[in-house]
Amino acid sequence: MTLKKQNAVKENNKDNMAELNDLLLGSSLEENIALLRNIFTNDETLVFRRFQNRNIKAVKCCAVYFNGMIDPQIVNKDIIQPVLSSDLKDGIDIHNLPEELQYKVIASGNVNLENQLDQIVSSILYGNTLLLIENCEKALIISSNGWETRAITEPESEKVVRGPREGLTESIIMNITMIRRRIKDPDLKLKFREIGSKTHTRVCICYIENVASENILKELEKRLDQIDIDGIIDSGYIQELIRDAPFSPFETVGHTEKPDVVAAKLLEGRIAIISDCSPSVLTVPYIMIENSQSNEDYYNNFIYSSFNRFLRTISFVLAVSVPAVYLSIVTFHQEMLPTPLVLSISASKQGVPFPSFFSLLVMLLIFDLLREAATRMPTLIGQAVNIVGTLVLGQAAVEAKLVSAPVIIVTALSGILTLMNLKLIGAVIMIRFLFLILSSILGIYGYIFGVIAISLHLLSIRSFGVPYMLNVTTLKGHNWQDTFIRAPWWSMKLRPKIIGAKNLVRQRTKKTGGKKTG
Amino acid sequence: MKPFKIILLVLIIMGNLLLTGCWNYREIEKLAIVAGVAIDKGTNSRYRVTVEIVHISQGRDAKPSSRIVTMEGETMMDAVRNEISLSGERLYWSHAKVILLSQEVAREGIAKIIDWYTRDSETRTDVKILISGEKTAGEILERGKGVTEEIKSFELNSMLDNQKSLAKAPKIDLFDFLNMLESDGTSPVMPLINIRQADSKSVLEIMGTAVFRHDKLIGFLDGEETKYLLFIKNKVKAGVLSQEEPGEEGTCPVALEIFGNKTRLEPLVSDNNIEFKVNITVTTAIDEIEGSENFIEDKGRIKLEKDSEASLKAGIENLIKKVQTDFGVDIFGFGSELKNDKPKLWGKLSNNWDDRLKSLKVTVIPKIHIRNSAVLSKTIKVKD
Amino acid sequence: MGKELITDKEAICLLMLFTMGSTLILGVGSDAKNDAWLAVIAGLLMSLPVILIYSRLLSIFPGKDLFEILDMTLGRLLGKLVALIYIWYAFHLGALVLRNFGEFMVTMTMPETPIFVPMLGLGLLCVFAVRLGIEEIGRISAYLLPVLMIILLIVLGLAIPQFELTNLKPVLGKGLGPVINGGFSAFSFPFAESAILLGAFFCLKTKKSPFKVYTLAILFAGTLIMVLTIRNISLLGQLTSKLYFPSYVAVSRISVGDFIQRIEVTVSIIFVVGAFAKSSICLLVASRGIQRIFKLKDYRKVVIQLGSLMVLLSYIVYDTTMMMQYWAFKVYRYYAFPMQVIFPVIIWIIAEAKKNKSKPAGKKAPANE
Repeated sequence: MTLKKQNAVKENNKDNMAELNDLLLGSSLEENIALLRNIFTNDETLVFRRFQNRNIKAVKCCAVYFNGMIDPQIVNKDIIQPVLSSDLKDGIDIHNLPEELQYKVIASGNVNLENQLDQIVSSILYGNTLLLIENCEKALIISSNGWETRAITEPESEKVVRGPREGLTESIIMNITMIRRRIKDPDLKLKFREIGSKTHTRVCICYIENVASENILKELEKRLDQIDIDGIIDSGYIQELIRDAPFSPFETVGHTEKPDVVAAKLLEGRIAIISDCSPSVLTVPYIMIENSQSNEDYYNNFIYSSFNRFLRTISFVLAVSVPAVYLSIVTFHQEMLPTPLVLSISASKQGVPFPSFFSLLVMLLIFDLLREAATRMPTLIGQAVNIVGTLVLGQAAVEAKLVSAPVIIVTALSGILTLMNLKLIGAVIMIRFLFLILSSILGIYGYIFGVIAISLHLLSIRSFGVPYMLNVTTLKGHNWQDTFIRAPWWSMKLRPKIIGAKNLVRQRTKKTGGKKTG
Repeated sequence: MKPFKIILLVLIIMGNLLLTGCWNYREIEKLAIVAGVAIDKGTNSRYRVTVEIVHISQGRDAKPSSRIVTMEGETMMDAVRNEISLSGERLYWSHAKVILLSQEVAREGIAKIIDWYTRDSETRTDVKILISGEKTAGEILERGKGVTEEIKSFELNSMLDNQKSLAKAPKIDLFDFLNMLESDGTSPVMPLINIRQADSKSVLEIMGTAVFRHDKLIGFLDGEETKYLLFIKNKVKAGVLSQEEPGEEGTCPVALEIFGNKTRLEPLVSDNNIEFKVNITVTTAIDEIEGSENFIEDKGRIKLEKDSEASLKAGIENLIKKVQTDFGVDIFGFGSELKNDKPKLWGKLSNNWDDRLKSLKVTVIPKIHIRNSAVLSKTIKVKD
Repeated sequence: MGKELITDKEAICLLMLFTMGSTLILGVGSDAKNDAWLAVIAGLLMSLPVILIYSRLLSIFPGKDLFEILDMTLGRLLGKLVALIYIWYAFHLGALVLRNFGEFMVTMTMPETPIFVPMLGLGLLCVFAVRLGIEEIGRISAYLLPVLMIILLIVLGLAIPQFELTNLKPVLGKGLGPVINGGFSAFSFPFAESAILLGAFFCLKTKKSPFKVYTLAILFAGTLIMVLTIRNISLLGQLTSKLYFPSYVAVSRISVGDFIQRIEVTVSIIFVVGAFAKSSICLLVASRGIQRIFKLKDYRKVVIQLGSLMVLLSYIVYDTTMMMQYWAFKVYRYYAFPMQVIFPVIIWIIAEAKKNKSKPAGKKAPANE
């Protein structure tokens, strides 16, 4: 449905680019300048810099570029200066000026000849410098893009204690650099394409040939081809446009801001989608178990990592269950509790006017409110929010007998458990409310109904043909090694077969190494 | 659009359920938690039911206190529901710990009384059941005072739970009692509760056993006899055997702590004559020697073992005799043993088992083994 | 949507859940009193030949479901007629399971809740599952069964200290009669109910798998039911046969220390899952039957309607719990006998005859994929 809508929208705003399709450059310099000026009317940042060679008057040029999109150093030193000052007489064929300039004069890494107007426009927009030459129907496109980018920092959302601190940035080239620095192999393939009729965002499909599954690659390309939208501002757009199970609260396309994670996933046979101007790289296929994996798992001792992973998995289950189970025990199945516990819970609830269901619902909402407020707040104010949240809402509410202490404990516990799995946070919040409502109707049975329904849902969705949940009966051997536990590296000799990787053998390390002595 | 429709449908159904629902939804603090119940004969109607409710008061350091409510009714259910007209709360039974029955009620038969308690889904059958040694059962809850706990029923519960290291009253819960009622070849028993005056306080005391024929109370056994009964029923897990030994300076009492016991009932059938052998194997340790006799050396120890075996045998045989002559019911479970072992023979005998029991020959073969002498390896000698 | 396939292990899990479904809570062979566990064994032995016939049928016609087999063996008209009977049986059985679940909820845990609500909840869940397809039901069984087994084993372990094995004595105290009687009851409920699965196991991978799936699943489930029956009897003694839901009461007797007690809710989790698996399969088979008879493209189109009707039927099928008890243990065995034994045997004989006839003629065995 969404695609249809976008098509309809597009029909109306038929953009200029399409009209430029068949236009070519003329031979007159001034005419060409006028043409470009016309295309970019009302745009003061477009610079036309005319200049001539000192010796040959015939070499009359004009450099066209966008202020701020180029590196002035390159334009000045490598384009304008050589053309201005060089002695073009020696061995330069004036009649074949563009080629001569391209091959012998301009000192830039990437120079192309172009006469298609649409290509020219898009490359100027991309930060290249256009060199128009008098009496010449072709122009030189010299790559000169250079703009301020954010420095490489550690991403806030994926902090590690151990492992690379580098985080991806908004520059696609930088990101690819960071990935290629990790995988220096000709098999690392990068397929570029442009998405977005207005933004012309460069999107790169990155995979390792002979490792990634071709079917998944084909399917991914098909889905990317189907996207027809005016703009991609962040890879999040692509994520939602290509995902399976569009209505599910669970993500079926992964994203990360860490280059080491991307590289590791590529090595496992996954495919990465890098989008320009977005620091998060998408990976497909993405399955449930990846939500509880962390890059640090692979750098730390495997026993410790397995334990942490176990904690994360359990915390997901608990985060969705704790409020619902508490509610059903306190309001339906009081006989399940040992007598002393009944008495103490009952004592703590004496005088609280609201029903348990209502107070749990409200407290969970308040927790989410605080969380959202603290996320958007500058750090310093965020602390104030924390104080208000804990002191005022927590303690004062209990003191004033508005909520009972167990409700606060349950809310806080569930909230903290939610934060253990940041990638699942959206799903956890939704499911938690669903379970809470169900258990307010049928107690623990409602909760079990909910669990079965969610499990069915999880079992039914797929990510690019790969079942989202592992299939317990067909799962054996090496496929287990990186799921609920993280097996030691010396035993993970194969790539996980479940995600459809080819060429399974991953390492041939001799096991003996230090194993016997260590 | 289809998913939206489904979501809408689900929302409508959920909304309906939520708005009309909450059938079994009860807030925990609104429950009147019953801790124990005492059943007497009523003055106006058939039953008089006294209920101990845990009263939980507001406030940070408030301790739960006990509240006693009495009501009457034509049936148990009726009486229990009549409570609403007294306090407006509906009683919550899942956490009840004890049922106390008056002797008067018990002599008339208690199957009809406990039927409601067993049948209802909120009540639990792991509630303990006792007979009041006082005139009524209600006064135990009304007059009695707990020593450690405010709530008497909870205290009774822990008293019964800890009987396992005393073995002077059987620990019977409702379910055990029902099972004994249902099975042929075993007559039910119940622990006995009394109020004892100590330091001008009325303290609860559980000691002794009430004996039933079918569901009717017919007599009592005291604490010591109860211990012997439990020996036969293989229910002794711990306890004390006191033995008086002759010594140099008069008698020298010795206490043996029981660490384990295994009793096997063995029916010996020959022609039409049935005999029972009761093999009792007790593991004990010397825990107290009030004198300077040496019971730790082999000689003294074997003598001690022999003597205490003899007194255990005497005690048990006296009990069996008493039960055979006074009550004539099979509270020991000889009948069930016979049924399990020789179902065909039991089929012939079951009709007049009680008569046969009166003349049943039972041989008690106790075997007491003294394992150690606790911490001290010698007797304490008083030096001049 | 490609051809649906489930692995043998999933099929075993599914059949085990199906078999244990309502049995775990209703108990079996109560006629035999304290020999009920022997009745389970008897029922298991009686069901083995029937089970083999079911598997043989499936392996003669691999990839075909019950309704196609009926068409191929009995001919169009008669086949349709018998198919209708099976659709009714599956549909009715699903409703009965829903009702058992509802009764359990209302008598044991939520007396004030209208019985319709839990049944509607479970019914909706089944509709959801069946719309997803047999693959998802198989996969969720493979997830749920291990969880249930762990719960069952833990509960069993906790119960062992309280076992009174003398409750099992006397063995065969009343002779073989009650045991055979109870065994027949256990045969029809739950073991031979696996006839329903004929309509769902069109999706097995190999020709050999029906034998493996049926025998292993029934043996495992039978053993488990036997162990649990022993548990119930040795915890409950004489009262076992007087209770509607013995497992629930048996587990409520377990108490280890002061804290581990009142764990009977675990039993209800097992029951919810079992009832869910069983009634989803029934709904699936009924829907597929309707699809075959009316030649619909996709059975998913009738699932919601059939599911709603099933909930409705379960609502009106009994008046009282007593009636449910009477039906489940007294009437059901005679009612289900044709579907469980007579028809399968007839179809099997015809199928074997046809197969033999076609072989000498030089034709390939039918539908050999």
